[in-house]
Amino acid sequence: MSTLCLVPHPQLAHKWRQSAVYAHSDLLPFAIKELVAQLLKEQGLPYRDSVFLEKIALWEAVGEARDGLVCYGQMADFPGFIEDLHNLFFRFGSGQVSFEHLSDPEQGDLHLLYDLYLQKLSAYHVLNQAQQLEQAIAFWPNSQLKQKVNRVELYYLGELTRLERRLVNLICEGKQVEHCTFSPNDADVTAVVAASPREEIVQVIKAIIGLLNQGVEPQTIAVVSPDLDSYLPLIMPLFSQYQLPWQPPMPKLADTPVGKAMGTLVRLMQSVWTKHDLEQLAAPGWGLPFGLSQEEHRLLRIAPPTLRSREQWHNYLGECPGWQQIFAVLQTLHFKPGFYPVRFYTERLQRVLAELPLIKWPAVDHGQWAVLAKSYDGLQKLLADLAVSQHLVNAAQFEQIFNTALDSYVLPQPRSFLQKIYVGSLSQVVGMGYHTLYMIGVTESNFPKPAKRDWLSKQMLTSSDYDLYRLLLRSTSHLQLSYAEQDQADRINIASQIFPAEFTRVVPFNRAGGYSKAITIGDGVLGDPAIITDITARLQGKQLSVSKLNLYASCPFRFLCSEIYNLEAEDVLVDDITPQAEGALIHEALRLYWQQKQVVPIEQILVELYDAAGERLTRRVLSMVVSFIKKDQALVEASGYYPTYLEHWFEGVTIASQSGTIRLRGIIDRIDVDQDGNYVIYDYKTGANPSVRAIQKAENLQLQVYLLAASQILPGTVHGIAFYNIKNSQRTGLWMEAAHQKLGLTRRNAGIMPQDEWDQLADSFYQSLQYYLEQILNGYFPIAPVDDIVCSHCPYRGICRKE
Amino acid sequence: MAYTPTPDQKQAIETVDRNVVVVAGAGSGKTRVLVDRYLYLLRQGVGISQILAITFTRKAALEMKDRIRSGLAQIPGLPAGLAQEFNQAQISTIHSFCQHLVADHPDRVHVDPRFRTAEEWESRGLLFQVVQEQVDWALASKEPGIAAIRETYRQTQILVRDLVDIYQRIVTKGVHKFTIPDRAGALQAEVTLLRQELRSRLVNWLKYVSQTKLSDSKKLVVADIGSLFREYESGSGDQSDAEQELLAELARLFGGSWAKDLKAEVQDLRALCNELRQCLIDLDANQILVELGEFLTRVDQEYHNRKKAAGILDFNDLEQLAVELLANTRVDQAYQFRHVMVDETQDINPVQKQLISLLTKNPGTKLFVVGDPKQSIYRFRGAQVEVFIDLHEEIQQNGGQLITLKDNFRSRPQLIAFNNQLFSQVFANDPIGFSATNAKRESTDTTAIDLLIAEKGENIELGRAAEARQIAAYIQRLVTVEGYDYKDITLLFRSMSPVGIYERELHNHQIPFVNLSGRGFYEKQEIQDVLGFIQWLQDSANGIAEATVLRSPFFGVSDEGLYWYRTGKFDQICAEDRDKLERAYQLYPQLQQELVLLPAPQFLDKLLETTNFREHTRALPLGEQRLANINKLKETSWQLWAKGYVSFTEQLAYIDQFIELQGRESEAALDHEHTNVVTLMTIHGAKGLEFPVVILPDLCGSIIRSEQGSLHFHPDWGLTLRDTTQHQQIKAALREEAVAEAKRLLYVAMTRAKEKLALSGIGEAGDYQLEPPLENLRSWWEWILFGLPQVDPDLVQIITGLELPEPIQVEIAATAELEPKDKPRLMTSEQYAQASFSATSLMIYSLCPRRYYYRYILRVPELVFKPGKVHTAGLDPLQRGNIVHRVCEHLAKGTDLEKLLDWAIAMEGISIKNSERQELHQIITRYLASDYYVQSRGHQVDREVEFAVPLDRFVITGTVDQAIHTDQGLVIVDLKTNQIGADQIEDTAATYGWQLRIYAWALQVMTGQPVVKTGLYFLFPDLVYFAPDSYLDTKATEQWLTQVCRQIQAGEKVGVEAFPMSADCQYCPYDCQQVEHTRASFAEIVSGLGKLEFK
Repeated sequence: MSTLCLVPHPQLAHKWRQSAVYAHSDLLPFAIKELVAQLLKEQGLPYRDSVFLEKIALWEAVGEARDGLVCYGQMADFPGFIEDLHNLFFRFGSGQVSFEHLSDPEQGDLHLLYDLYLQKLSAYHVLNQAQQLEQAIAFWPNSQLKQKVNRVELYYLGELTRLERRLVNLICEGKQVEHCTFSPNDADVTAVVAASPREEIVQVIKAIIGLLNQGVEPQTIAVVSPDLDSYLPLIMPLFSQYQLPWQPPMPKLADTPVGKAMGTLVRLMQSVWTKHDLEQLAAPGWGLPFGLSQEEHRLLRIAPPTLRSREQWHNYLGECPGWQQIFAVLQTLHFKPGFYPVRFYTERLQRVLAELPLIKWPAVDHGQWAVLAKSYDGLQKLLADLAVSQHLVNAAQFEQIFNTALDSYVLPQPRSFLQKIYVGSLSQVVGMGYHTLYMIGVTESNFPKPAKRDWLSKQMLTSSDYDLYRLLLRSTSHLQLSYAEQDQADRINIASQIFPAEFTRVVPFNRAGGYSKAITIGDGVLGDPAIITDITARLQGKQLSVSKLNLYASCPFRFLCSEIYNLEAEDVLVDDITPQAEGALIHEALRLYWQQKQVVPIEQILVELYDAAGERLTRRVLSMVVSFIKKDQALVEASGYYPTYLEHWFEGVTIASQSGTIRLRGIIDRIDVDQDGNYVIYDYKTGANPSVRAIQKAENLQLQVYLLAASQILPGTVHGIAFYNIKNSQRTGLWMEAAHQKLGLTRRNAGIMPQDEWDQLADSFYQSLQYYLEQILNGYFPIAPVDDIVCSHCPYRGICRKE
Repeated sequence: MAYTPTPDQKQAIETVDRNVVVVAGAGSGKTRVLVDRYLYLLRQGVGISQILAITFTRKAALEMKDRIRSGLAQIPGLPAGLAQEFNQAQISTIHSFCQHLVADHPDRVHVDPRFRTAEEWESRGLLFQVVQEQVDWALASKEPGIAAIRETYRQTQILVRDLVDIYQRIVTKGVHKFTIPDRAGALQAEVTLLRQELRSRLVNWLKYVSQTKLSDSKKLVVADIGSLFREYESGSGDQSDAEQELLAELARLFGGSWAKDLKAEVQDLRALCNELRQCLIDLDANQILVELGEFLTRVDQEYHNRKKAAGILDFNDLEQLAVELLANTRVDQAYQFRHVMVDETQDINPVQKQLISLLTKNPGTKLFVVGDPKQSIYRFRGAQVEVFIDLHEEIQQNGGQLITLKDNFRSRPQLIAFNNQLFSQVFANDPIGFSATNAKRESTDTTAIDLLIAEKGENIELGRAAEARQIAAYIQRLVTVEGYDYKDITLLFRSMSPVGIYERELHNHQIPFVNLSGRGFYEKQEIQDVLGFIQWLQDSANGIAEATVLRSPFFGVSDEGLYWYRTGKFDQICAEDRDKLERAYQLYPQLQQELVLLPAPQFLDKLLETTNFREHTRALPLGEQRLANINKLKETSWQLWAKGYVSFTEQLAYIDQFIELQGRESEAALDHEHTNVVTLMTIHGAKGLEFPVVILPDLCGSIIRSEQGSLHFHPDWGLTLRDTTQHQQIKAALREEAVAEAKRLLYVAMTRAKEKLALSGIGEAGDYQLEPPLENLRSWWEWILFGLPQVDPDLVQIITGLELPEPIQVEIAATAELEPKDKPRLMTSEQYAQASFSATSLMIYSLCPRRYYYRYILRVPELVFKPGKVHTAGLDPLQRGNIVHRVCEHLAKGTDLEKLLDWAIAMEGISIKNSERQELHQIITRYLASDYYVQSRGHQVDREVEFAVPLDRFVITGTVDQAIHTDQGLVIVDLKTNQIGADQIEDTAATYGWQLRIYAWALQVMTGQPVVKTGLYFLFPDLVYFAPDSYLDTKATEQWLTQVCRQIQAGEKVGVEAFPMSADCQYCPYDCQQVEHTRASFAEIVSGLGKLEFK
């Protein structure tokens, strides 16, 4: 005859069973759930035990009853409703809760749903926990186990459901019964407060290493938390970093490459395809197993973020062979939106999976291959389970169901023979007899959890955390409680009520403020003479555009990256017209307007130009240009300087310095000439004009170069050089004092210069250009932006390291 | 010293028979009052569940909870279990309270019961999506209003952003109705009237001036007016733009000076032109606004639907839904408190006030609110100080009591005196007023207020730089001369945009600091370096990322090296750079592979480890902070992983979206208690905190921020467009509100200081025109300079021209130590746990250790593994075997065969064809008719005999299909469902050799009965095979078992190499070539990332 030990959880039963084998003892340790399974198996009862199918049954029941539900009809599409209903029906089936105190319509709804749910379960040959318990109660009297057992030991079974209590009572009937404790004494309790969760974990790790070094066996140490989900992201890297023997949790199917790819495919069954979805679908290693080329990846990266429909994406990427493969897979999942059975969707996914057999998926070693194979197999099982459902859903609902399934499927752990530290939930360490138990994250809001009101049953769900804590005290010799004063999101925490008054505060190491010597990364000055020769040879061989030279003036290091290192930024395409393209069209319109002697109205020119370019002319641009022309025309008429050279191309303008000579090229937007041959140089702007100071200090070189170029083209005297703003008709530049009135300027305007200064202007400009040239040819590219605005849109910010 | 409440505090604590409003100035001990009042209520017998306490922040709630709990322990005679009951105490933020309320009644407000509260940036992302789609739709369907607004923007994206902003601004104000009344009729009528009036008056005027003597220039003007008027008259009247422009031009011409006799009429005409023009603008806007209202209503509905589908709610939703629920009498019954306490009431919005009213509508409920109107600084989140003032008045009017806490326990008396004198001027014209507070701390000799005056530079930037330098010098002086620690000093900013200048100077002066302001984390260089590396690995052609990485501490290639590398002249690269580049190119393919294969956080660990990046980074200036940032990046990556963002593609997309939607991610917070660094933070972030030394930099920044965009909103005037009449009103109102809030914000900032306050600005009083009223001055600095003459000069020390010598170079080892010398290390070797092995698994091992490795170590299932095979429907051999086996196991129970078959198929989770079912049926029927079955029925047969036998450190387990009791002993038979021919029996049986040996050994040890025979029954040829007697040699079996179990156990450390392949692959479900195939697939996929060439 044997002794039946009923224990709180299967891990403990397993541990004791193993010990019993070694000790050749007649103990039969069982957790209630295991005992139930054993009784059902003994009697050969055919059934399936699947929480997943239980939930599918619930989705179906709710979907079917939706129209008949008085109170909960509007909740039918919420996954949370299914989850809560699942919990409620478990408690209802176990006799923990009744619906009697609810209103009639509520009772009606819940009974209707429950009955339907049971019908569905039966169709799937599933017995839920309550049903299994009922069967076990029925089978016990005639079971072999009953014959075998003469004594029952009950070990703190915690809070039992009504059915569990019935079973336990039945088992105890006529047997010798003993209520046992795990340990005669409570554990020694110590407590630690850390500044952050990270410090808290590090402190636990140090303590564990101390224990292990003293010879304590890893399997007698456990780390548990009432808030394990928040702590795992810290435990994972830190335990690995300190090489502690423990078994990290296996990924969920949803987090494997196969799961990710299929999850994205299911998302793409709906009509909107975002760029992010396609990025995910094509992500190397984590998307569909097609080897896209570098160019195919690039095309997606620069795709306009506004592309959404299937057609738009086909138009954009459909020519690429790699993308064609992906679109072919997506085509399998293309159907008219509507409600279809779950089976309909799963069959399509099964077809996709058939097209993508395991060997097509990537892995480089056996470990990764195993994860791949397990996830592939898991997916097949999951689809097979889903394929039995005829429940009608739309694509969005199917996505919800599918994601729930992916999320709930955890891949099996590889086997390990080594002793491990247990990291897990509180309930699973009850009775395990640890040497030391670390209970982390013991904050006021986490433990003990306050009682919670269940919205469906309208009853308070009391917390059994205090009881659990008492059990933990008897499950280990040493218990260390800890918490962090601030959580991961820097929110403050306070201690749990179980936290003792005396505790240790962890002082983190290495927290002195102060400075260390910097390592040199570089300052943009290229001192190697060979480089200087090389740069000179390169630049002398080509013509430098004005805008490039201007780039140097705005920040020499940016020039280095752009012109010397030839690094190009990858811009994302946009649907709207770019500022550059818009500027070009406006410039062209202004050119035509003046070239055609104002005969054709500017509106017409703009319309024709925009039409020809396939762009949309907005009211904003139209009114801006019209208003500009109006004022400009008045100015031209009043001043007598007529726009004569428009969008004037020049090249071969040379600047010579001691280190060499370079040639410049560019386009002058406009040169207005009066009847005496005097002229004014304008550069159009649609953004803000550079300041007079920037022109004078040669922070902007455009006008300097234009002046140099114009003096080579035109014989007359220059009367002004300026930026001309199309938005507000403002002219910012330098003007000869003698001509300022004629030019429509008053003395208050900045940049008006007396004759002597004006006469030296060209020379000083030439000198500043020479200066820049000298710097460039001598490899001098310091990180020196003229202002912060230069840096704000600079694509080379990461390289220069200016902080 | 024991704490004794002041009389005012005592009154606030003990007045529990009526509603109470407490106005509590900064540092007046209001938290203590709240705590003591709560404890007082408990002492008076009020139950914990009858008290609701609402605080402004989670921190305040927890602090209050903690202090009450400590207080509970000191109250004698409280009922037992009260401490435990206190766990249920309702002390929370208003949003947390609302969240519980909604979670308790999801069905009443139709939300997902498992809803979560979305982060601000997350819900903004969803809103962006909705607005983008609605704009696309509106433009595609040519909705004139949206199209007209679009015309005023350069890009659709900017319009979308503005629409998102305006929607949020409206909703934050508690407004949820977007429809705008159509005023077209009224406006059109007004336009008609004005046009008529203008026309008739202009005609008369032109007639009049034609007969008047005018100067030549005026004659020209009149001629222009005349021609414009004619143009105006000839206009079609339906071109509003042209008409507006003409009217503007007319108004302009009517400007300037006119003869006395003309002046009045000209002014009227000018006004008339402007009025008509404004009316036309309003009329145009009206049409657009009406449509915009409909547009926003659609956005609102769709946004709600999306949130619903995603199971998320934002803070506005929580408040709205809570109000809705509390208005419902059935819900309300569960939320009837006797006492409701609300902290920081000055920052509540109208919806929150409504919520409080609903919670206190029961006459028995007593409301206790604490607030300080001078500290209301959350206007941008919808807080309205007027709401508090109304509440305040309501309470008093209804017999409640007003208590003012005027004693300040926080700051030194000099600080209090200064604040009293300055703010009595600042708040002089403000409706909330100002009353002085009393200093309660002892006075000291040193000055408490320093005015740091920096020289004006050529421009704002230079001035700020000078100011920042002076602040840095001031901090060094505080530390070196006055004995403060860096950690005592806090810089509070109104806006963080200019913070870079101050950071730079602190950096230049080697002052350690941390910026807690939020933003900027992902812009930090060390984070950019890491993200740059990932981008480079994702695309080898990304030259910018490549240069970023090569030039970073990852490799530290020199600029010269980079030059030769970029120009392709590799032979010119110096040896040092060549080494670095070679190292980079050795690591690249390996890291690229790992990037593709590993989950993002694991890859990040690898990257940092392989490149020693942490060590290099720590050696940079501010290394400690940088290192903390890198750790934070790692932790963030793990947190994202836990949320399901596993690959880098997902994590980078998340981060991009986060940054784009202006999510705030601050730098890693160093532990302040143990880190001696200066803190930089926003004034809003400092609310409720106190610091020994507070420095307020950038006081010259403008108080008023210009309103951008075409769309504007104010709760009093509603939604409108730029240049409309309402827009003018809104602009004025917003300006007034901004000035009022700026006063309060300055008050909050200055009252954070305990010991010392430094006010820093550019230029002296003489540099500004400090004309009253104060409200017209443009910066805080001007306010301070303006108020200074009225302040006792002894309180203030003026500091100018403070400079530090060149930064001192501190030499510390280039590679700083990452961890303390006493870093714990594991000194022990790995230890084995007790292990069990099943007989089947050991049999598999005997056939092929590699197969064992796949199935029992890696736990790879067998079903799927034939190349290209995908199981969709129907039976495969394994499933067929399982079903038959399952049925045969249960046959003895006499169950109905058909039912048994149904069940066995269902257990397999498949559905099968009729033909397949018939096949199964036949197999089983044949079994039932077989000699073996018939014969075995004559004996006692134990089925499914489980065993677990200890051996050495192991346990051997298994299940014997059938153990037949005979007179000689036990006969063991295992059923096999393999479909084989009779001639294959010998060979097939041999593969099960070790299984049978183990069964024989185990049953003999377990039962003590002799095993006389072991055999296999093959269902398909319907034949029994009996094994040779040598199988019964238990000693040999035991020896083999011990050896094999030890081999397997030790193999874990070796890996796959310890499990070689055997020749027998005939029945193996695995294809060992699979790994090679998947390797090839991997190579193909990685090739899309590109390779590097460098020789």
